[in-house]
This record gives sequence, C-alpha cells and structure tokens, in this order.
Amino acid sequence: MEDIVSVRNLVKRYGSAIALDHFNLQIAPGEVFGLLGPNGSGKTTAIHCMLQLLTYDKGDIDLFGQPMSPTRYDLKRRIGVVPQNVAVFEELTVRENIDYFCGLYVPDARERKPLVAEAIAFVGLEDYAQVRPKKLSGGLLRRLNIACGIAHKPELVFFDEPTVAVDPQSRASILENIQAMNAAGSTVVYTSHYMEEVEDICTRIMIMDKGRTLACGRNEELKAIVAAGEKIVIEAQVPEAAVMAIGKLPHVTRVSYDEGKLEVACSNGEHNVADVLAELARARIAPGRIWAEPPTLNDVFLEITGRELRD
Amino acid sequence: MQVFKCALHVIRGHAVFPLVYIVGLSLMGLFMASSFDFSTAEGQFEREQADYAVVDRDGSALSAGIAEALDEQGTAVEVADDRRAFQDAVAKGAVDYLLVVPEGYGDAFMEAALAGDDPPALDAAYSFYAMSGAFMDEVVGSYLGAARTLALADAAASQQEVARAAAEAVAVRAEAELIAVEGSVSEADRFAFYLKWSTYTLFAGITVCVGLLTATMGRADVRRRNLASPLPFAAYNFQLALACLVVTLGAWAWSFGVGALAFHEAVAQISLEGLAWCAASMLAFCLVPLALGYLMGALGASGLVSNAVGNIVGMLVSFLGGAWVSLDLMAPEVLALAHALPGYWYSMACADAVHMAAGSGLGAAVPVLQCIGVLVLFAVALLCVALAAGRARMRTSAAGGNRAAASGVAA
Repeated sequence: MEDIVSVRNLVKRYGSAIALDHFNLQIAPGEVFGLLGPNGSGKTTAIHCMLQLLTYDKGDIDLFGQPMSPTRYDLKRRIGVVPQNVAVFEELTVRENIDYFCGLYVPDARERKPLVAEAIAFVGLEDYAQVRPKKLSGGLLRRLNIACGIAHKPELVFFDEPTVAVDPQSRASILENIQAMNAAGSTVVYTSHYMEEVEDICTRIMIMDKGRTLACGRNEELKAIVAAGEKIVIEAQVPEAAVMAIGKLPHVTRVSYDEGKLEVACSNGEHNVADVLAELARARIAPGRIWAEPPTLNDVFLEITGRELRD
Repeated sequence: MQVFKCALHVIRGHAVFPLVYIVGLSLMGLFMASSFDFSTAEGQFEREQADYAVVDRDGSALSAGIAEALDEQGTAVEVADDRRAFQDAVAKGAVDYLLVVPEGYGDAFMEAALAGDDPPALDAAYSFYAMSGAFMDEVVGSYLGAARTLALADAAASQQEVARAAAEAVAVRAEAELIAVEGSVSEADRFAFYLKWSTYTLFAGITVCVGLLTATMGRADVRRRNLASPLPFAAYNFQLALACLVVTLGAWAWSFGVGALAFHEAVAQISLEGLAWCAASMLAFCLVPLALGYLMGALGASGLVSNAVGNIVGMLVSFLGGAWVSLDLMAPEVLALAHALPGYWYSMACADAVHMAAGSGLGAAVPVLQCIGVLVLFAVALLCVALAAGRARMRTSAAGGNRAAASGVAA
C-alpha cells in the first residue's frame, strides 16, 4: 500500500542551526506513528514543514502519494491538525469554535452541523457546548483543541504534543480518543516527549534528536536494536567489591549502586536474576526487595545518545 | 465566509470597546456640541460692569477724576484702608478691581507730566474671578493718558482743569451695537463642531476595534491552524479585511447618522451637496484609523497597546484638527504641525462642505476633494506600512514563522 506520508532528505535550517538534518519519514495508512524526542529535537518543525507552514531548504514531501505544496488545498482538506498550544478563540463558545474550524474544511453549514455535534460528543464536551473557553479547565481546553482539529473527519491527523500540561484523567481520555480515531480509519502522527504515551498508543515510533532520526521501528524492534535486555533492581547493603564483581558477570552491561539500591542493566540472557543473586550470596549479602523491569524507550534513547530523554 | 463571521463574533465578544469608544464618545460629542452657544446675539450692546473700590489717600482733583471715570464703568464698593481688608476684598471676590491712590499722587503726576517723565505708579489689584478687573485698569490708564496729554498741551492748566477735561475726553464713546453676521448658520456650526469632535470618536474607536480584530485573528497559533486548512490565504485576508471595513463603516454610519439626527435643524440649513461631502470627508477620515488599526494588528499589538495608541494618537489628531481649540487660535508652528496629521484636512473639508451652497457645481467641491485626497493618501501610506510590517512579522518567532526557532530550539 502506498505511504500516506513520505518525507525524503528534508533539511531545514534556522540561520546556522540545523533543525532537520536529512530527515526521512514513511508512514503507511492506518498507522499511529509516534515522533519521540526531547524538546528541540525537531518534531514540531518536521510537522510544520509537512503542513507547509514553514519553508524548508531541501527535500521532498509527499502526502497521500502526491507532492505537497502550500497551495495543495485538495490535500489540506484531508488533513487535521491539533497544534501544541490551544488555538481557539476566547470570544466564541465551544460549539462556535468547532464550527469555525470545521467550516474551513466543510463550507456547507448543513453538512457541517452533524459533524460538529459528533466532534463535541467524541471529546465529551456536550455539557460545555455553549461555554466560552476561558471557563474550561486545562484538560477540557485540550479536548476542545482536539475537536477543532478533527471535526471534519480527516484521513490524516497530526497531533503535536496534545497532552502537555494535562491532568492524568484528561490525558487518558485524549489517548483513548486518538485510538478511537485510528480505529475509525484515520492515520495518526503523534509527537510527544512522553515515552509512556508513545509506547502505549503508537504502532511505530521514530526517535529523534537534534533534527536527526536516531531509530525507527516498532516498540519491540527499537528495544531489540540496543543491548538493553532488562534492568534488575535490588534493595541491599552492597560493598564496592561485590558491585564490581556483579559488573563482571556475563550479560551485565551497566551496574550502579546508590543509597541501598543496586541497579543492574543486562542484555538479553536466560539467568540474569539468578546470576546476580548468586553473586550476592557469595558475598554473604541478604537482599531485601528484588524486581526486574523491561527496557523502556528511555533506555533506548540513553543507549544511543548517552542522555536521558528528558535531559 | 467563515472568517468574516468569526471576526464579527470576535467584535461582539468585545462589545464594550465599540460601545464605549464609538457610541459613548459620539454621544459625548452630541452633548458638547449641544451645550456650546454658537448664536450671534443681535441687538443692544451692553458694557461690561465691574465692582471696584478706590482707596483715595490723596484727595486731589485727579484722584477724584479717576474715581469718577471708574464710576462710569462699574459699581463702587466701600473697602477700608487696611491691608487685610484689601486682601479679603480681592480674594473673596467682593471687588473685581482695587485701586489705591497714594498721598500726593495728583501733584506728582502733574510734575511728571510737565517734565515729560513717566507718571508715578498706582497700586492696583485684580480679582481672580473675572477679566473685568483688567478692563477697569484699562479705564484708569485711559483716563491718566488723557490727563497727561492735556497737561502737556496746556502747561498753565491747573490740576482741577486737567482732571475735568480728561473726564470729558474719556466720557466720549463710540456707539456700539450687536449685529448679525451676514450668512451665519449657527446650527450648521454646531453640526460642524460635532463633526470635528468625531475625529476623536472615530480615530480611537476604529483603531481599537480593528487593532483588536486583526491581533485576535492573527494570533500565531490560530494563524497556523488557518494556514493548514484548505482556505486560501488570500481568501482569509480578504474576509478579515472585509470585517474590518464593516466595523469602520458601522462606526462611520453611527457617528454621522447620530449627528445628523440630533442636529436635524443644521442638516436642513446645509445644502444636500454639502451634507454629502461632509459624509464623504468623514468616511475618508475613517480610512486612516482603519489603516492604523490594521498596522497595530500586523505588529501583533495587544489590546492594551491598541487602546493606548488609539487614545493618544486620537487625542493628538483631534486636537490638531481643531476639535478642542480652534485652528485660528493656534500658533503658526502648531498649525504647521497640524498639516502633517489627518485631523486638520478632515476639519478643513468639513468646514468647506458645511457652508457649500445648494446647486454649487463640482468646482465648489474642489477644496473638499483635495482634502479628501490627502486623507486617502494618509490611509494608503499607513496601509502600505502595515502590509510591510505584517509581511516582516510573519517570519518572526512571535508570529510562528520561519524564525520561530532561530535560537536552534526547533521544538
């Protein structure tokens, strides 16, 4: 099937700073594609270039299999945008706001009316339809922001960090909405610097940093391409000699000890936990609580860049 | 027409601005124009009367002559020969003019007059409350001037003879009468004043409303959302410009309509052509704050800044347009400065249009047309600046343009 988004060798400079450095992206129809990276990694710039909101220095962008340009209104009509900041009019009610933005895509008022009602119901703002945005909480505002971007039922929707500064309940609701949209047939491009969200809802993920693609693939594929197998955490008083001995065990890639907590990062191995416990027993150390964590995307990012995602 | 309708919703959401600036200020203009007396009274001329006091320490024929001359112009009030009594009388308004004639003044005056020296000084004080005190001092000056001339003319004349002759000389007055100025139209002048006052109403109101509208619709996030939609940018700008124009036309129609209704007698006096040119001049003037408001929006000015600019520039334009002080009373330097602002040209256009005779051809309208042309040029110049500023700002980080992450933060 033809890619719904195809970006090839995209270069975007701001003066001497490179925001996108030969950026490539292919998204198939029906995907929930996650763009993951720290602030300043180029996620929003990439989206703005794809939407032709920014000019770029080099590269090709195809949407729906056709070259994208600022005047491709036929392609723009099939796209929905949920920007990072809440972009609504304070002077209009919830319904009027959704109607306005939907009207930019669907000029016929009769055709638009059920779409607006559906969008209000979709984000659960029925009780606030006649309320002005300044009376809405942060979470409800985010929902309104989403409704304004998706009311016209776009085939491709760009969500640019839609859960920033949102309470956990609203965040869960927003993520459910995105999955529901995807189930209804929309392809979703989702940017975030929250790895848990991206892991939860995205079928494929691209990790970006400094305008470059660091890795791209399914969640499991990304974790497999680095040596991160699992992380074993043990609460115990461990002398330095024992820490060094554990560090020399096969499959152990990194070990750290801080304030009674021993953290051991291992590559994929069959007896990692048993090997570490055996080493502790040899040193006559009685462990307290023990648990093992699977690798996260943060571990992947850490492995590739040497930095935490939220550094 | 989504953008157009949305823009009108935005103005409706800030209804307080058009209500205060356009409706409120135009009603204030009506009140002011109604309260001023533009009538040219006809009939008997009445001389200004003042309360005065003369403290005569000299008792000479000349001091008596001064008191007599003052008596012709006002009403004598008794004031004790005491410093505190003088202060009380003047400060409390018991007298408009207080004159103290020092001892030996008559003789000293005659000696000085014969010697050709300056006359000795008199102690005089005016009231704070009226200019009639100064007028009484003029009367005293006039009497003493006549006395000095007479003394010089007849060196042998005694003080009594000089005083009597001076009294006879100042008693001679030209007959004065109030007459109506030919062609005066008092109600039309009242309407003309209202039109001048409207410079402030329209300038502040339109600048604030249009500035608010363009700034709200041009917010970076909203602008991006609009640009990402299938609505062509030209169509978006056209609809926004149309909304700004509707706001301007609304302000113009309200201001002119309310004035024409309130001063319907004036409208009846003014020719139809004159009235039409007044309306056209006001409309041309409205284009200037429209362009300024557009500029404010293009610069991303907040509502507070638009309010400040609309008010301050509006006051300046209306002042230099003669709304508060007549252009005739302005110093040449100030008048030269007034030429550089649209209020002056609007006032000139209205003044010409109000007095335009019925049936006068296009030739009579040439001065009005010239002023309208200048007003349109002001608007075009400002609009060009606004378009250039808007284009430059589109690329800045504040507007979310290409320089949005110039610092290297590409979000």
